[in-house]
Amino acid sequence: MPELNTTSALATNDLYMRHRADIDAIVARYPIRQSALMPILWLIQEEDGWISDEMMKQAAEICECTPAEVLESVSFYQMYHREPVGKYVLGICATLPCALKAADGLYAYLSEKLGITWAETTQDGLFTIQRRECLGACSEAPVMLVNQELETKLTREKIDRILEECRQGKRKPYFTGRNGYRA
Amino acid sequence: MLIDFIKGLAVTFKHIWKKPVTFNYPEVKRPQPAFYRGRHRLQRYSNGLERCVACALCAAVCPPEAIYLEAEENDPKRPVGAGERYARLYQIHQIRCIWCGFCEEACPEDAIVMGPIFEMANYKRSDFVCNKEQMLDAPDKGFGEPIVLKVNQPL
Amino acid sequence: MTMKIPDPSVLVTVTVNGRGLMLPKGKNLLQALLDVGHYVPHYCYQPALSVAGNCRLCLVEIEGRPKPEISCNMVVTDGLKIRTDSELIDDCRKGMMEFLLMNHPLDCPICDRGGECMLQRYSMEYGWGTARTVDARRRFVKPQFDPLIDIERNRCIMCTRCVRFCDEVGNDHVMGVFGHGSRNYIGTFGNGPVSNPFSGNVIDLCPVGCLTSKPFRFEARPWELRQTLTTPRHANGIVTAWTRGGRLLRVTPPARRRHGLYTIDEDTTRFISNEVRFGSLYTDNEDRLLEPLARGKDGKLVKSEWEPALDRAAEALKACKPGEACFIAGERSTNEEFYLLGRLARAVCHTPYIDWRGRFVSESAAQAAGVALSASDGDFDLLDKKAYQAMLIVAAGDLYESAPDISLRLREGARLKRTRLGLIDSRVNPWLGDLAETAWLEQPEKIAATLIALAEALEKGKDPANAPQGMEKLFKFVTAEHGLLVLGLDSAGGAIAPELVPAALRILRALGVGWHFLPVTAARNAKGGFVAGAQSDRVPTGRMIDPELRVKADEIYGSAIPADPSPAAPGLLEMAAQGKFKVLVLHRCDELVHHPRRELIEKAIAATPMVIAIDVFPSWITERAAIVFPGSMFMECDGSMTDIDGTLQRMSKGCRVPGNAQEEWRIIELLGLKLGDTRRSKRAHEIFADLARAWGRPDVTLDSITLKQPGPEAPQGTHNYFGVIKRPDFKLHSSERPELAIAANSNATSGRSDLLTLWWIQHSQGPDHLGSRSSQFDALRPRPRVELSTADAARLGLKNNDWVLLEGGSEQPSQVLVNPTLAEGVVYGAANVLGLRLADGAGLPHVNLMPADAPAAEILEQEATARR
Repeated sequence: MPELNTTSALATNDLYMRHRADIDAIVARYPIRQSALMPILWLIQEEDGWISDEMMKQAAEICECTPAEVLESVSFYQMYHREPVGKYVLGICATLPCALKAADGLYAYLSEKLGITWAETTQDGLFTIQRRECLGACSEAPVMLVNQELETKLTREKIDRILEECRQGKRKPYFTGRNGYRA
Repeated sequence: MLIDFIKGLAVTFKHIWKKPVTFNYPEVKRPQPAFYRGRHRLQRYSNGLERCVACALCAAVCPPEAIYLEAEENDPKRPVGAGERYARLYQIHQIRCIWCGFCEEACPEDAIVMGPIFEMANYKRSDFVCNKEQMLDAPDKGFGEPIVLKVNQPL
Repeated sequence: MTMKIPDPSVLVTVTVNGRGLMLPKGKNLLQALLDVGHYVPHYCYQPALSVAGNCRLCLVEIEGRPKPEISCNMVVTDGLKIRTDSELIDDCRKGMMEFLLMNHPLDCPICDRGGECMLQRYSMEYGWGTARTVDARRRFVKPQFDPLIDIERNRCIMCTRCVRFCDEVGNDHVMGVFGHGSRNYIGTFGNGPVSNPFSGNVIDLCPVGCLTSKPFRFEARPWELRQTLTTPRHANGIVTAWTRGGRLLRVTPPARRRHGLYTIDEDTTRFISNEVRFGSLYTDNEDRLLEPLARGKDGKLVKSEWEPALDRAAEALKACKPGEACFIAGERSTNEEFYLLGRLARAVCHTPYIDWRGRFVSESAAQAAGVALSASDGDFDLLDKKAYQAMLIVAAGDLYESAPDISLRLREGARLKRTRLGLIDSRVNPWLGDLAETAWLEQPEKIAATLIALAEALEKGKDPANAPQGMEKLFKFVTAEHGLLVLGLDSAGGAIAPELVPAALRILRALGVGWHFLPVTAARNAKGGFVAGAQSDRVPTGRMIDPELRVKADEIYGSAIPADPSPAAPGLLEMAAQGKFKVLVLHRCDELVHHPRRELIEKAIAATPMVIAIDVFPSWITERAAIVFPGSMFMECDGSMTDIDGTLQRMSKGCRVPGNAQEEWRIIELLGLKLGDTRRSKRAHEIFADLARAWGRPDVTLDSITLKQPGPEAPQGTHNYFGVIKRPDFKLHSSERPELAIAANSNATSGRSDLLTLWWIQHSQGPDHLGSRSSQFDALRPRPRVELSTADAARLGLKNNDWVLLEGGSEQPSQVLVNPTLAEGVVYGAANVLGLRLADGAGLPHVNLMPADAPAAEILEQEATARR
């Protein structure tokens, strides 16, 4: 097969043209182009806060795979967001040990307090509640991930405190991207 | 000979005063038992939708192959049946039918049952092909609620 | 020519349930057990696809291992002791069935798969019988999906057969498993269509009712259908036609007999293209000819009865002197029709003018195709049996678009590692190219020269030192001892065939007797036209110029035949256009309806006083004919077809011909009877017997060729009341290898650097006399599109999705697709999609690309909705 001229094929790819240096560096790390997919997705999410269908198509072009393959990865990992999320993503563990320690009560409390259900974002764009698989801290159940920080042994008081800290901006938002957050 | 004649008349006179066992059909009709296997009925749900989903199990089980049906997709905006599909055409050939009731037994939706109607005389053979409209219950005669499964997996 | 087939692998003893079985060593255990008739339940294992191992139903207990293991991911080893009937395995299966059914909706009465569903079957055989689920079942939204495939995700059991099929056979990972855990689901990105020409196979592969056919949706229950093992009229291969009340409802790969009933075979290895599966539903088109038509005094075609129409046709033919009547047989005629037409023309009408090669644009191309067919001895079955070490495909990559079924057979050989693959082409299709060991991209005019350079080097010896400069890899590839050379005949209407065929024959001689030759064309029954005597220079017994064979042919025809040579169909049409014929008989000339040289055909019809057409659908040709006879659909007709590799396929009659139409062979015979012929056959079998006699194999009958079961491992025979009938081992090969002078290259570049060479094909999903009449097929219709190489696109300043006009080719604007694997100076497009018109058939056409305005938005929108 004649070699595909990658640079010219990607000339119309906005994502590539925007982050050319970063993407080239990521791609160079791996023997197969497709291996670069997950760091590139992370790059997209850092910039936009979520991964749109259009971005998935562009990532597929860069990694020389099909959009379906990209979607497989994006939908498998819960830390990739397929919809715009709030500034603080509250990921509640929904696996067995946390469930035994009443994680559903935790969800009910949060959901009542914020007025949202699974995968929804509050009106002010601050909070999103998401369902997470095991976070690996079963001894500390119930647990929750606030952006990238793990909160363990949760109680109502602790949740109130966390929410308050978030509202006051004491906790750092994870993404510092160009497009900012949905507000 | 005369004695025999009188004996015979005696029997006759004895029965004159008895209550008759026959009915004065067609003025009077004999009530049918609940399990009577008369002409088929197609039932409905209480909201008036047809129960039949045109799975054709009745046609498959029918020993004389008297049932013929053609299915069509149900339009959710103007539903005819409760399921995803309904029988656009449902015909039972009343001359072929042997009234075995297998169709009733095979039906997974309780749609087809044998009814009490036994008067099926016709002038033409073609009139013995019974259509869906003839067999369907009145819309207000339905019973039960269709099972509606809720979507619980948003993508 | 005999070919060494590698020995079957060594047999070793495997103890299955305490009973010793001899199984081939190293083979997949599950497949080996299935082959010897020991059934093990399985969902995710499919013989043609890779092993996934996620249904866990094929568990077997192995002595010496602590836990049961899946047999699909295990190979046969010596001394293996397994159990498939222990209590543990029963329990495992029950447990697995319960897991699989946990979220499965209980909507079998509504499900289209009901009655042939593996989930139903296994839950009866291995399941619990009752459900213990109390919670709500998982339920997804039903999305808009492929225009021809319906998806019901709730029923999915995650076997991933569809995903693997698209990935491996379609070479496009268009379907995927999304989400994770218990909430995962299958689908496509953005719920788009499953875009490959074989996508319909996922319907058969799905063991449950998740993916079902939209055209067949709620049409009938599977047990109500009548199955006919037959072959389609417009593509190669063997299929089962499922009919109900004379209506064709679906077409699938050969059905499988199971518990006394025929069901879809979801373990099939013989996949069919969408062209066959959905395109065959053209039979439903209402616009069908059902009455004979004859032109009245006022010049209008009116309905007629058979007798007067036949009388008129016979009168016209009788009035012809020898050589005044011309017969053109369509490439989709059956062998019997070809034979009878040949006989009618030569023995009854005493005219030499009969040919089938209307597809080709020029006389020289058609003649070259005939020569190529006379050397054709390649065999798909040998390919499946790993008899070819290498397969070199020359100028046939476009078969992916024009004849996907042939192309798939070739690619499956390479994909399943039955042979190595090399390509020489002007356009390397990634579908084939990704599997190729070596690919050589060359401009169309220079392909022949490449072959000759290789041949010259080979003639010096197979020593690698002889390799021409830069061709070392290719040279090494062709030094294999046994191989298959596949040559595409009909790219650009055969414009390069006159140079390519002699070059191919030369390289074949250099390659030696170990190499077989397979010229391929999208013409359905090309080989049939060749062997059944509908070719201008062939009689059923062989070459016409051979006096001995001619005498034999006279005997079979029952009358002496004219000995003068006749031109091929393009030449005949040109003669007709000059008014040389009084009668022109066009027998099912499907390929002429969307032919790029329409002007010539129009002229030929206009210049001939009496045009007799036999057809099933009205077309511009039947509208201009004087007499039209209505023919039959493929499931209403008896006969046989010859696949491109010489396999005879039976076309069986599954239902009655409706209306006043007739089977075509009967029409031709009736015409012969009116002309004083005395032969009248009761069945197509009698005609086939004549052909079998001509081929020197009187033992081959029409019934015996029905029995072919698909798959290399399947038994080649069937049981009937009297015992086993074996399918005769018979292929219509012809290994004449005439030495031809290499023709001067007539395809030299035009001299103008701004012109591009047009490399065109006839797209199988584009407008077609049969396939595109299937209303379901509209959704698949390709968009007008031309491909350009990266360099040309840069030179012309064009990029993807720009609109252009092909000046000198077509008047329809088309969109540009930049293809990095296309030779420079070439523009590639589908003639029937673009509406290509060629003034003459001389060489490759050259076109100029002119930028054009995009069609109005509403036109595009209309097309898009039709496609959706």
